[in-house]
Amino acid sequence: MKILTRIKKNSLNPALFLVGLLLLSLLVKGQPGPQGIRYQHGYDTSVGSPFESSNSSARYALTEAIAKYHTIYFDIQEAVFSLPDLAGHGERYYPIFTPGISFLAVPFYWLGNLFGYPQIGAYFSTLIISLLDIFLIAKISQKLGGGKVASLLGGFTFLFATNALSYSLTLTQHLAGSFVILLAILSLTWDRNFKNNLIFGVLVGIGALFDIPNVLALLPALFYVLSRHIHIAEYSNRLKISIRPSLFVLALGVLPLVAVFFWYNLATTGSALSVAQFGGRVKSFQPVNIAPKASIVHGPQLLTYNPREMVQGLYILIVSNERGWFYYNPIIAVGLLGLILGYRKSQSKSFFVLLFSTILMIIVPYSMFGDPWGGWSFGARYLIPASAVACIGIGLAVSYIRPKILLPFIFIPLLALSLYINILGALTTAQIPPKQEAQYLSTHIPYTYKYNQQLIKNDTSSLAYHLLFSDYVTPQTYFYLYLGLLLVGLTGLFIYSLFEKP
Amino acid sequence: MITLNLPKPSLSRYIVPALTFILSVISAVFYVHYLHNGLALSYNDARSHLDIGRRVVEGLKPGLAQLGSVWLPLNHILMIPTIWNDFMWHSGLAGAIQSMISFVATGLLIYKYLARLKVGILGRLIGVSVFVANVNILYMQSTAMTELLLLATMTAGCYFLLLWHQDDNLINLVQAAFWIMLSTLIRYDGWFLLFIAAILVFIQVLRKHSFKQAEGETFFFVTLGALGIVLWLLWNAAIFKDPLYFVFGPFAAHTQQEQLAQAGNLPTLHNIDYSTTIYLYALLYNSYTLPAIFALAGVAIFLFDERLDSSSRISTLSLLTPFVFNIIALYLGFSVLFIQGLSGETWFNVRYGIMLMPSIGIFIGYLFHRLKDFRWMIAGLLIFVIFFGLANQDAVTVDDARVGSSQKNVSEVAGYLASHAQDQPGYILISVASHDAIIFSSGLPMSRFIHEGTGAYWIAATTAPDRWARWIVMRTYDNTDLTWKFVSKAPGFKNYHLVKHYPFADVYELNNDLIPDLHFIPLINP
Repeated sequence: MKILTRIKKNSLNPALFLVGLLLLSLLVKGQPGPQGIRYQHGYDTSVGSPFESSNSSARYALTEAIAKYHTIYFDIQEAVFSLPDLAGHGERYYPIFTPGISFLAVPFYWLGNLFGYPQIGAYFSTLIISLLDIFLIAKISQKLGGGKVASLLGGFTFLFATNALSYSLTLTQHLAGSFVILLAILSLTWDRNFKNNLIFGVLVGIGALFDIPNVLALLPALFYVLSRHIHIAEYSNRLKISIRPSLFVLALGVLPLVAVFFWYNLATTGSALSVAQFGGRVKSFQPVNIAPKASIVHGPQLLTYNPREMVQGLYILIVSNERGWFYYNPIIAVGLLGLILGYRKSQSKSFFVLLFSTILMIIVPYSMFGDPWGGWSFGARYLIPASAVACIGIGLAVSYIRPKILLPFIFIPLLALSLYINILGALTTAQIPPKQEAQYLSTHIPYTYKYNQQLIKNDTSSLAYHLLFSDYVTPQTYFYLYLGLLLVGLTGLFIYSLFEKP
Repeated sequence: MITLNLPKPSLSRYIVPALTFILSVISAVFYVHYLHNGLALSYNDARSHLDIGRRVVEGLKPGLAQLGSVWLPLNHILMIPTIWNDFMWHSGLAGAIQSMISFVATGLLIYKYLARLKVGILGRLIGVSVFVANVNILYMQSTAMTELLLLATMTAGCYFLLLWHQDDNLINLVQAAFWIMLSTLIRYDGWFLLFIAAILVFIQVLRKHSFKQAEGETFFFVTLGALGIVLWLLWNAAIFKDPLYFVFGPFAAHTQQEQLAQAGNLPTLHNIDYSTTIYLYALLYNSYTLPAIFALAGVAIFLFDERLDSSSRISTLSLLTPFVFNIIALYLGFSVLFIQGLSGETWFNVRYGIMLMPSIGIFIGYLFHRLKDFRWMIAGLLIFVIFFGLANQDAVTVDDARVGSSQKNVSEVAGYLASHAQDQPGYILISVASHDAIIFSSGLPMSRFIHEGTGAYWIAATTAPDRWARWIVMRTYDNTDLTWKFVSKAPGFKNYHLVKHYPFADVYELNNDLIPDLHFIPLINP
């Protein structure tokens, strides 16, 4: 009996991992082609393809350059493929992004390439990390007092009922950034010793390599760590400041990754401290056979973040129908409510303050960013790590909301709406224009998820659909079946969690 | 464990002097900064304010009557001791110095206000920092505009009103009335503050005493508080023969807004939603948004905080009057404000949004004090936003000053006058209502200009320009330009020829053969 209990206890997470993997696999983008699966050896950037966004294609090009040609510089084809997210220095071209995601994808590319599917392999790096995010959210939620199933519900809600779903199928920084932030937050629940501080330092370094704003999102966690190492005692006329030496190990963790970052910057921009993003984009090339001469568009004189943008930025990111956090992921409201309830009930209030601070340190900088839309995208893609942190609260909401009878009336409709929107996005495209661009397009494209509603009537980007189900059901039916499956599954988890003891 | 055993610094005694010193240095540094980059005098209104002050002490008809009725008079009166000096006039320092002193004073008032609310030193400094480290404030304190002086007097009024609410000491009520009275002589925002403050005084006394005493103390408060308004009405009656000339006169803001409304350019008129929206945007843009959001949370906590006595809470409502006043002013068409992208392509008068900055500082300081668990989060986010605000040096008020209706690039026409009239005798006929900025930017003495405020000279020159004016500056065919309105009908105008055509004005010069017949010295006894 004990063995059975132990198996049951230890097998839940691997089983759920496999379920998650299976569910995500049904969404993976691709199409059958004349020589197997398309997009594995070409640069087709059509809508709904894995390369529909240069956020992914530029990173993929770097992965391919490293894995296939053992260089960090692009050839002409890769450079054109990466436009407009391309930077240049002299005769060298490279993606405008920091290189961490591309580095991470290299072993997955090799593995995929063994089977003839390098693109699918490379993109699996994000997919696997997305699944790990589920369990990190669940673990943190549990540590804060959420029930086990309720906490897992929070994790699954994050991945399947927010726009994280669309971006789990891309080669972008959002899910990996969420992973680093979540792991850093989880690490704060551990003892503060040399090893754990080293790990925290490494996470900060990896976060920077994935995307620079991750460092900002990690600042509250960093201050939390500092506060655990510095003790100030006040006496009548003296101040006694004590610092635990293990704090300094944190720097040892960061340094190797910073060194990698500096090396990459030096090799690309010519300066260790100059990041590709700040050097300006390469906008266009002269004809390909001539030595490429690119026109470089330098960024504006203002810094990346400008408070003047905040009025519009907050509107676009939080409530607008173009990208709004609550518009695309209304279930987030339950997560935030859970965090508030958790804060009120918890003894370790500072940990909740840390979570709120992390969310705000993601929202505030991006609201000051000139392009809060994130170009053509689906939902507030920049806020995906904030969604991850907010979803920690879902497990707590289930545990703490009273009277419990109210919760299904709040949770299930919001979950259904969130699933509907985000599965729609994952099965079609994450390329929705901002309103101001949509208005000037020669062919009308809606600037909300109505575009996805239109697309699903005719086709889906799902490889599994095209390989396995296209003979039996229409894309729209496939969507509704998938939605129904998720809704039933997550509602089941939710109902189970209502009866669970925290 | 590394341990540092340090003597505990005792800062509280030195904070106010240190703060005064630091704010003064910041003020001076930013004044010099904006003077050197040419922005200190970008506001057309700043140049007009300086010219009004200068005309009191220099010109063909100097005197207090030159204070006019377009603007309330206090900042022009305060210029009188320094504006006679050419450097003080042309550097704008005669006007800016009031703004600079007001900047320091407002910072200190925020600190003291928070101290009265029992907010800790850190919370007070956070409140002061939110006000001080705002580029819109730093820019406005470097100009000869009225905003900072108004902020200082209004905040002082609110501060003493708080003191009176807390201790019932009549001296504090007198001081509150005095500062509010000064604010009524700067901008009409002060009039609304007086109205609200009088209601608050009445409620406070009524709560504690009787109706009769409430009536008496309110009357006492209003007697001093409204003294400035009464004097202003008398002034208008004495000079312009109409006590309400400042409201309905040809140069009054309301008259100008009526013209805008007729042209369909006043969308806030009689539209409360739009008026609120526009002012809210102005407030958010001026404050960097996040401080305004935090301040709103601070207001909510403040109003429902039972740890505070109800008197303090009631008194502090006075800090919110600029918000209500500006919305009402937009709704009634007494004010105009554009937000780029929302109403037109300029930031015209967006600076009205800074009127709540001291209140924002105070409410944030209070929020910081009360939300102990969240104070480092609040401080961190504010530092982040303020850092980028300062680093970018990007401010909507600077855009208001540089682009659109608030600015006039008159350098060409002023440059022409400077190069041609500097060493040549002869008067220049010009309307100050239309072209004060040209007078200022030309660098010529005020006594070289014949304008509406020069009485008999103006009448003589617009009737027989060829006997008085060697040059005429005006907008041809524009009857809103008073010079054109009168001179174009004068027979002598045919003796002038157009020498330059510029976007804002044309320059006419008297034909050479008639120059010997001109008057070159002030013959008329003012």
